[in-house]
Amino acid sequence: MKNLSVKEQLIAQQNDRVAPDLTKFTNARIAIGHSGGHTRTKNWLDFQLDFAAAKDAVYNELDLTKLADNIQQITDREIYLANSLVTSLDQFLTRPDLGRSINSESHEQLMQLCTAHPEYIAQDILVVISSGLSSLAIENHAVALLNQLLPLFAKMGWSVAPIIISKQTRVAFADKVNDIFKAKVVLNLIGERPGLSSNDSMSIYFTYNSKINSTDEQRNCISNIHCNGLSYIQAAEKLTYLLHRAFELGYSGVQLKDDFSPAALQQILGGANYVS
Amino acid sequence: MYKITLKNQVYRFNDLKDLMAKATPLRSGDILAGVAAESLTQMVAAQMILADLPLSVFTQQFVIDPEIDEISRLIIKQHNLAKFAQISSMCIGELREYLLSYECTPQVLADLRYALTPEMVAAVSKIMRNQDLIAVAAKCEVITKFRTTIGLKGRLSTRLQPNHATDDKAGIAASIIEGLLYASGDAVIGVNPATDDINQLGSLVSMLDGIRQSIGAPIQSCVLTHISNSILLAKRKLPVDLFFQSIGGTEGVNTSFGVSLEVLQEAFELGKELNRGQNYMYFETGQGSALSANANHGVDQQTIETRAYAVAREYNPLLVNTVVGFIGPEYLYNGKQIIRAGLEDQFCGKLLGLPMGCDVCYTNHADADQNDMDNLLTLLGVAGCSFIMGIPGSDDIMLNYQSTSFHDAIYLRNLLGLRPAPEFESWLKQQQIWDGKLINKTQFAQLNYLLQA
Repeated sequence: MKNLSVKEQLIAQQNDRVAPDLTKFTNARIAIGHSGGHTRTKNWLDFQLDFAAAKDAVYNELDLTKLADNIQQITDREIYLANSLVTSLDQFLTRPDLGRSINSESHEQLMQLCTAHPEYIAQDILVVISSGLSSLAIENHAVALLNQLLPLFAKMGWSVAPIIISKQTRVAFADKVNDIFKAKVVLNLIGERPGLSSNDSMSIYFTYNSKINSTDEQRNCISNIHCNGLSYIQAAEKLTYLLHRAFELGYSGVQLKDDFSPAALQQILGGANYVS
Repeated sequence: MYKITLKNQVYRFNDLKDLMAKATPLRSGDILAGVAAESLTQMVAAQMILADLPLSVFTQQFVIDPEIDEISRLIIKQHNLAKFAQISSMCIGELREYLLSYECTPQVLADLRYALTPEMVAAVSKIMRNQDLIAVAAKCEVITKFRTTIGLKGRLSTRLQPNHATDDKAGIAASIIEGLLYASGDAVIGVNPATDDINQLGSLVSMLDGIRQSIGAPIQSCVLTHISNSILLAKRKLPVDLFFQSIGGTEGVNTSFGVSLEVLQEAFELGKELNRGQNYMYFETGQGSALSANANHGVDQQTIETRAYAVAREYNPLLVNTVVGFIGPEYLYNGKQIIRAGLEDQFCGKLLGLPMGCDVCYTNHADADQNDMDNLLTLLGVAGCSFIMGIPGSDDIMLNYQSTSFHDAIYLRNLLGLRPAPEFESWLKQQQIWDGKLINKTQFAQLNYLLQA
């Protein structure tokens, strides 16, 4: 039997545990081989690079002016800014209570706005867009998703309040905004915690009949909206269906089971428009 | 009201929960809750009072009033007064010394489980340094069983976590295959689904069971969805092995998770009827969840975490997993705080009789990295942790956080001479995957079948 050199021996024991072509089924870090029981050098440094990019995504700040401009390209719905009590990134990370609260200046401005425009109040849907923990998620996906959502809402005959944009806010912040607008459902498009495989993943949370002290069991979430996750049209159709169910049942949250199918939505869209 | 004078300074604490909170090693969640010590000397002052506090105080004073909280009532119900009588004359400081003594053997520790309440255990942990937590946790033996036996001395199991961003079945199967080839999955193959869709959940449950049957491996599977979904699926006769639920240590936090003891009891009874395995409940916990749900009652997060273990032990779980760094920097700010919390949870859970595992993890907005996880992983291996996570390359592509990889488990097993669960180990040998280390020329005949599953 041929004697292997040290390098040949090393290569022989570094075989991938699964065939590399299985990697086409998932972005998970499979078929990365091993040395002894440990990671190989390339894999370890690739991991460190993605980690660095994810950390950077946390520190990137959302450009609200640019976001408003981009939304304006696809809809003539009014856009307003709202701020939380957060004043710095470190505070945003360590003080979720401040991120959930609306600051008094924003509160007053939106109150005045609604007094001047009573037609903004008590619409079917209020959309709040927030950078959350990944401003990249909002920069990359929020407008494209809205572009799918708004026509579906129109088809369903649902009225939409002005769009609210914000940064460094938490999910419950949207309930505080809706305490002013009093829409039947409040949606929050928000950047998720950046991961290594996707540092720009977006979620949609929605609450039917939100209160300022609504908790998570009253919310539903559609997550993982990004290029390798749920597509805009998939997310928009699923959301439309679930909203339809929420209007029908009069609640959202744990009790609202997700039994979405594209066919079910088509049936709803094909039938008489459902007006809440 | 508790009072102590140290170096000419008087320190006062309002009540038991204030004392316990101030005695807690510093963490961001307690600062956020406004219950943390304001100075290091105040923390030590609280620890000194706590050390001299008789255990009997904990049978008279409650950190959360039993009138308003069903977990407090459960804790009272569980407390075995006959067993407690043997240690009731001790104070917390003496309890620490007793736990560390040679006399306190694994058998003695097992006998103490229901003599102690979660609050007593949390209190003693607050005056223990990391090596104390490790030493006592390592002495505790908690053995549970489904198709594999978990928690035997010298063994380390893993939960294979093959998540996929859209629950794509081939994607999940690919990660499962890779994990099995790395000797991972003897605690459970557990998928966190991206969806709540009941039909999709059902089809995942069936797929996981199909994989098990096709490869003949002694493993159990779980789709980590809300327990009401698992109940529904089991009633539809789908092959639900384990009933999963996130739980917390107050009635309010459980309400925020959409569960109560009644719902957990329903699943527990259903699982008993199904009779698929001896222990079939799977719980996840983590410090900070109660505050996050506004249901902390001014109690520090580590004490509430320990109260969650009363909930867990009511249902003889197969696995309890503290997902220690998942919640983020507002509760555990950095690697140091995450490591401390991981060790506390291991100690408290094991002492209360739970099969404790740990999701050694962090998020990208916390001040932590993979080196911190290596430290905690190694410490938990030494502390006799029942199981850790196995995730492809440490990177969960669905939940967006980093945990431990298949490789990490191999590292720990090889470093400390730990072996997989015996039933799984036999299967791995038979499949030529593992014989104390990875076998290089592993072929996996069922591979193509699995991908079509």
